[in-house]
Amino acid sequence: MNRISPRFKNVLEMLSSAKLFFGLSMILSIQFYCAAILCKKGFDGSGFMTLNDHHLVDWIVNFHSEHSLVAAWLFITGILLFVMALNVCARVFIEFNVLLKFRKSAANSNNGRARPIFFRKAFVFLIHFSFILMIFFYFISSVTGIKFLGPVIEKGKLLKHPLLPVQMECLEIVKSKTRKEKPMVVFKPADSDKKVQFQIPGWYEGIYYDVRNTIASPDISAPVDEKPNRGLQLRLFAHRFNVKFYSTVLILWFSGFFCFMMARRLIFWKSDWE
Amino acid sequence: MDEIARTLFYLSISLYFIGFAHLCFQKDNTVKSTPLAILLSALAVHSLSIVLYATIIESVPMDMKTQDGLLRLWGVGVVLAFVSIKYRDKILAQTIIFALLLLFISAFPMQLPSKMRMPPHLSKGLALPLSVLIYDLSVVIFAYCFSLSVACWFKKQVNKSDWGCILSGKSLYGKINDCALWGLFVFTISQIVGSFGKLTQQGTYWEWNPMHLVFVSIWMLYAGMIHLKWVNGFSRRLLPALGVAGFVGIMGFRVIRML
Repeated sequence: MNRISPRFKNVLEMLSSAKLFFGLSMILSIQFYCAAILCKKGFDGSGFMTLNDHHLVDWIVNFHSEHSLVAAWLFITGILLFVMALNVCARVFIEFNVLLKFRKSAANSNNGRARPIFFRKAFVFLIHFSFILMIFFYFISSVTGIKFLGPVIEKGKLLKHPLLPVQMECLEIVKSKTRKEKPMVVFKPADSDKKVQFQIPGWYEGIYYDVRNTIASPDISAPVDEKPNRGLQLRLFAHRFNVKFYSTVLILWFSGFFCFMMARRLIFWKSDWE
Repeated sequence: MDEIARTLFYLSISLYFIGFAHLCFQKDNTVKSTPLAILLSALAVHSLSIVLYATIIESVPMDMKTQDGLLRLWGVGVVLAFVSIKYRDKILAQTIIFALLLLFISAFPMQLPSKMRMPPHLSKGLALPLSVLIYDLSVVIFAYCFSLSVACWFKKQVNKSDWGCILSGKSLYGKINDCALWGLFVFTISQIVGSFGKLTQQGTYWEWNPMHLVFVSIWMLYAGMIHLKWVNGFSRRLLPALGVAGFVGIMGFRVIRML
């Protein structure tokens, strides 16, 4: 920190301030609460719900004009989260420098409280650092990978889609006993042995496949005398997700939080934030 | 057995209300033995109703409404008993009962055990049901934070020398921050456990639906609240106000679900 120019230091301190974080968190709290009300009340139709069926980038490119309120909400939230990420990054940078300095001084000091204070600062650093990783992870998963609502599922039908890694044949559809549960569908990759089967909803080769009930849309390319699609139909939904990275980030976050709270309870009986 | 279980629940709520009324008419500022006995009886009857519910459905009563009514109320009842015995502060006891009655209103009317329907996502695996129970614990902590906030505001309105308060507004202020921190910690744990459960069952930790959006909102509010300690330039009333707002936000989710 001593080698950093005073001007940059001032900017860093302003960016890392608790006041900025407080303001952003309050605005985001209101922002998300309003979104929950809009989502349910249907002020913008099912705009928010369609985000579940499409990749964020695909949605912004193809659907933003249909749901302009949701698009505006996403834009504002994106800016706020970006500023919050800057705030937390600046905070993490400062905390890291403080930790390094503290470690050096603690090693040379005979003060018995130096070590516990160092650990507490380290746990706070871990919480903030893993929060940054969470935001970064969400950003990466929003712009990479696959997420789409695919073709209609019918028994014996071969499912094809440009984004599907393999073509899949539907072997069986097992309806659930209760209305609330989804049906289970058995697939096998095309051109493979019948023994190679997998069930959905479930994971297969790093991709999560799901079944979605949708209202049948009219097929305009179908012949006039053909019976039109009606009622509910099952459609394939696919989503790629990096489970290992997500699990690592969450474990870091949990560890930081947990160790901080335990250290606070066991070592610091009174609130001592210095 | 069905009707007995529900009757016992309503009886416990009535006893909490009687205890509240007793405290209101009491002139002293400490919790005397009579109202304390009423509140402890209410907790005992409530515990019995939960046991009966669990016996009839052969599971932890965790469908949407009974969770709100039975489990969270019981948690707040335990906090009430503990706080009343430890601090004997009348105003704090009253505000906790107030929070309890708000939770009761949000869960009214209580279903019969045999009419309960567990949601499918709580019938499979361990992670999601566990996350729901941890979330219930966080709601209890946030309810206590709400009670502390209301008590802190109330104590600031009256002259300290007139009331001879057991817990001063200043000590309550420190407790609000502590409570918010613990509540946020437990809430974060519930979200982490729940996200792992959702990941295994539904392939993603996040869904665009009112529930997740409200959870993020609540998390942001309490995360901002615990950082208020390092922010200069705001009134000391802001912290209790946020404590109230957070709990009202959690209650509001019930209203959003009904829209």
